Amino acid sequence: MSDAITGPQGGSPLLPEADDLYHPHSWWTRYVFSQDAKVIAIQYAGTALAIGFVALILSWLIRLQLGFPGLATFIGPAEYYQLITMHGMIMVVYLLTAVFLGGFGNYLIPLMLGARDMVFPYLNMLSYWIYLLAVLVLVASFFAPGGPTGAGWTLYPPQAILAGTPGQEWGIVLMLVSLILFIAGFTMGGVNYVVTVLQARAPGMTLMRMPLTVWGIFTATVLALLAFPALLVGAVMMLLDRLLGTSFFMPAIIEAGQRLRYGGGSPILFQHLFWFFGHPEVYIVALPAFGIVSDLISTHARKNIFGYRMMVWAIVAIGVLSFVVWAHHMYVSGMNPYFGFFFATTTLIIAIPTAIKVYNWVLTLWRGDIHLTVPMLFAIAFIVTFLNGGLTGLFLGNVVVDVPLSDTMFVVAHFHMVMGVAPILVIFGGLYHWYPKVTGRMLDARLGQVHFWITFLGAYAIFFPMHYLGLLGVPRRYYETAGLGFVPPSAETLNAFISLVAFVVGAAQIVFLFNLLHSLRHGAPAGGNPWRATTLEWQTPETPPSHGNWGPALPIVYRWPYDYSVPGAPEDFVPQNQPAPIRAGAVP
Amino acid sequence: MSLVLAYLAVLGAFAARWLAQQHLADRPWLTVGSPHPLVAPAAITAPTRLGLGIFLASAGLLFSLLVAAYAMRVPGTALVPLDPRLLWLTTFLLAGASLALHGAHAAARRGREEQATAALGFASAAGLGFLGGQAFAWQALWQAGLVQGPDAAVAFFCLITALHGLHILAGLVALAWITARAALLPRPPRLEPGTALCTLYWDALLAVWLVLFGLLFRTPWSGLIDALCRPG
Repeated sequence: MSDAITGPQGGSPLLPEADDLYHPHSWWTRYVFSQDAKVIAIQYAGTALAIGFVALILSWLIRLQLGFPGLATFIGPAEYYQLITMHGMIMVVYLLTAVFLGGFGNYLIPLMLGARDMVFPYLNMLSYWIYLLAVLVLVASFFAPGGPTGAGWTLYPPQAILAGTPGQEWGIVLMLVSLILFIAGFTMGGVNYVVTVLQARAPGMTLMRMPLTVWGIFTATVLALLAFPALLVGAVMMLLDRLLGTSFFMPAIIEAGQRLRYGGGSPILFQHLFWFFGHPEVYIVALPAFGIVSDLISTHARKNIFGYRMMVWAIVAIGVLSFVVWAHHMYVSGMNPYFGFFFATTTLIIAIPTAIKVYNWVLTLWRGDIHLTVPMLFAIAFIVTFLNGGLTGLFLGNVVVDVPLSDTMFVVAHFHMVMGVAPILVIFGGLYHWYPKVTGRMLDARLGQVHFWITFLGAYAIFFPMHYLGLLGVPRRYYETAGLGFVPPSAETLNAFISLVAFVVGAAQIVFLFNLLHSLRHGAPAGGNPWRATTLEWQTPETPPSHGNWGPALPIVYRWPYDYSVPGAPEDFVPQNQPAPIRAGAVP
Repeated sequence: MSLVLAYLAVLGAFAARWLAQQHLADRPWLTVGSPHPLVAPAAITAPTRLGLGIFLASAGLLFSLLVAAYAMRVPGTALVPLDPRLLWLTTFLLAGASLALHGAHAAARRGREEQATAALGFASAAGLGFLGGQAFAWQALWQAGLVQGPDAAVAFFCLITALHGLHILAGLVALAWITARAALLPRPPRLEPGTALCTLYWDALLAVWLVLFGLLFRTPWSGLIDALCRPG
C-alpha cells in the first residue's frame, strides 16, 4: 500500500484532493472574502486583537479614575460605568472567545489534523463577517446618542434598561443586537470546527493522537454551542423588554412617583440564563488555553506530555462539570440553602480535573530539557497565574466565604487572574509560537522578553494587591471610594500604585504590537519547523502553508504528537507523519 | 431548569456513547504505525447531515431554555387568549409539510425527481401556511394590545413562536433553494441529499413545535410537558 493517499481510491470523500478545493480567483476572494481557514484565522485574530486594544485603552481610563480620582474630568460616574461595561464584555466575548476559537481554532484545527481546510469553508467565511458586523455594532454604540451601555458586563435587569443607567436608550440595544449577531456567527464557525474534528482528520489521526490543543478547542466549541443559546435567549428577551415593553425580566417598578408599564418579571431568571452561559464561558476560554499550553510546554521542554490520557479525560470532565456550577455566581442573589450547598460542591469538584492538569504540566517540566524561549516563558507564567486564580476560586466557591467577599475587589482580582491574565498569557505564548508558521518569520526574541517580563510582573503587581483591597472591603464598581468611612486611606495609595503599573503594562503591549508588525518584514526567516516540533502543522511542504495546506498528498499519521527526546532517534523529536521506525526493533 | 438538565443529559448520553467507541483508554505513546486499513476515520454520516445535527442540538437547547424560562415565569394556569383551533390548524400544516418532505425524499431516492419536486412544492406551501397562521395569531394579539403589556403568557407565546418561525423561514429558504436549482439549472444536481437534510430539519422543528404547542395550550400531551417542566 502506498504511504501517501493521492487518488480517489485511497482517499476519503471528506478529505478532498487539492483540485476539489474552492480556489480563489481574485485578490478579493484570496485575502478579503476568503474561504481559506488560515486567512479567516488571521482575520479573526486581527479583529479580536484590534478590539482588544480598545478594551485595553478603556482599562487605562478605568485605572486613571480609580488611581487618581478627579484627574480626568471627562470621566464622571456614567462614563465610568460605560468604561467597565465595555471593557469587560469586549475582553470576555469579543477578544478571548474570538481569538481562541476563531483565531487559533481556524488556523490550527485543519493544520494539526492534516486536513486541507474546514469542512464548510463558505460557512466559515460567513462566520467571520458576521463576527466583524457584531464588533462594528458594538463599536457603534460608542457613537450612539447616550453612549454605550453602562449596565455592567453582566447586563443585569432591571437596571440595564431603566432610565438612569447610562446607554439606556441606544447603548443597551446595540449591545444586545451585537451579542445576538456574535452568537449567530459563532454558531456557524462552531458547527464547522466540530464537524472538521470529527470527520476530516488525516489517515491515522485517531482521536487519541490529536494534539491537546485540538482537544481543548474541540471541547470548548461543544461547550460554546451549548452555552451561547442561553445568552441568546436572555438577550432576545431583554431586547423585547426594552423595545416592546414586555416584562420577561422586569418586575413592577415605580419611577419618579409613576408606575412603569412593567410588572411581574423575574430579574433572577435573567441571572440564571446569563450564568448558564457565563460559567461555561470561563471554560470556553480556558480549555483552548489548557490545550495550547500543554503543547507549548511539551515542545519547549523537549519532553512528552505527562499523562496524555488523563489530560484528555480532564478536558472532557471539566467540560461536563462546567454546566452544573452556574449558580455559584448567584449566591448573594438569594437561593435555597441546599442549592448553595449543591453548587458549592460541584464547583469544588471541578478543582480535581483542573488540579490533575496542573500536576501534569509540572510533571512534564520535571527533568525536561527546558528551553526558556518566549512561548515557554508565557506557558510557565500561565501555570502559576492559573494556579493563583484557581486557588482564590476555591475561596469564592464556598458560600460562606463568597458572601462577604462578593462585590469586592477580591472578585475582580480573582477573575482577572484566572480568566483575564492567564488566558491572555497563553494567547501571547501561542502567538510567539505559531507566528513563524503563519508568516515564515520569527518574532524578535529580545522584544519578546521585554514584553513578557513587563506583562508578567506587572500583572502580578496589579492584581495581587487587588486581593488585599478586596479583603479590606473595597467594593467593586464604585466610581470613587473617597469619603467612604470603611475604606482606609491606604487603599487609595494602593489604587494609585496599581494604576501606575497598569499604565506601564498597557504600554508594554505596544512593544508587542510593534514586534508583530516589524517582524513581518524584518524578522529572521523561520524555516519550516523552527521549534523542532512534532505536530503536523510544522510538517507542511511550504511555510506559510499554501492554499490546501499539503500539496498533492495528504499527510499520514503514524504516531502520537509528543515523541520528544525519544531514545535512539536521530533527532530529539519524531514528527507525527514520520513512518520509519526510530531504530531497528525499537518500535512495535 | 429540569427540562434543560434532562435535555443536556440526553445529549450527554449520546456523547458518552460516542466517546466510549473512541478508544479513549488507548495508550497512544505505545502504538506507532498506521491503523489498518489505511483510510481516514470512518465517515458514517455525511458531513452536512452531521453539521445539521449539531446545529439542531444547539437549537434544541435554545428552545429547552425558553421552555424552562416559561415554566419559571408563567403560572401553570395562564393561557394565551387565542382560539386553539387556529393553532391546531397550523400544527396540522406543519405536520403535513413534514410528511410531504418524507414523500419527496422517498421519491428522490428512487430517482423520481418530478414527483419529488411536486412534493417539495407542497411542503413549501404547507410551511408558508404555517407561518401565515402564526402571523394571524400574532396580529390578533397585537391588535388586542396584549403584546406590549405585562402579560407573560402572551409575551412568551410571541417570543417562542417568533423564534420557531424564524427557523421555519430558514427551512423555507432551503426548500426554495433546492427546488429552484432542480427547476432552473440545465444539469440539476440530484435532489436526494438536499431533501434528506430538509426532512431531518423539518422533523426536528415539528418535534419542537409539538412541545411548544403542548406548553402554550392545553393539548392531550400538555400534562407530560408540565410534568417535565414543573416538577413538584
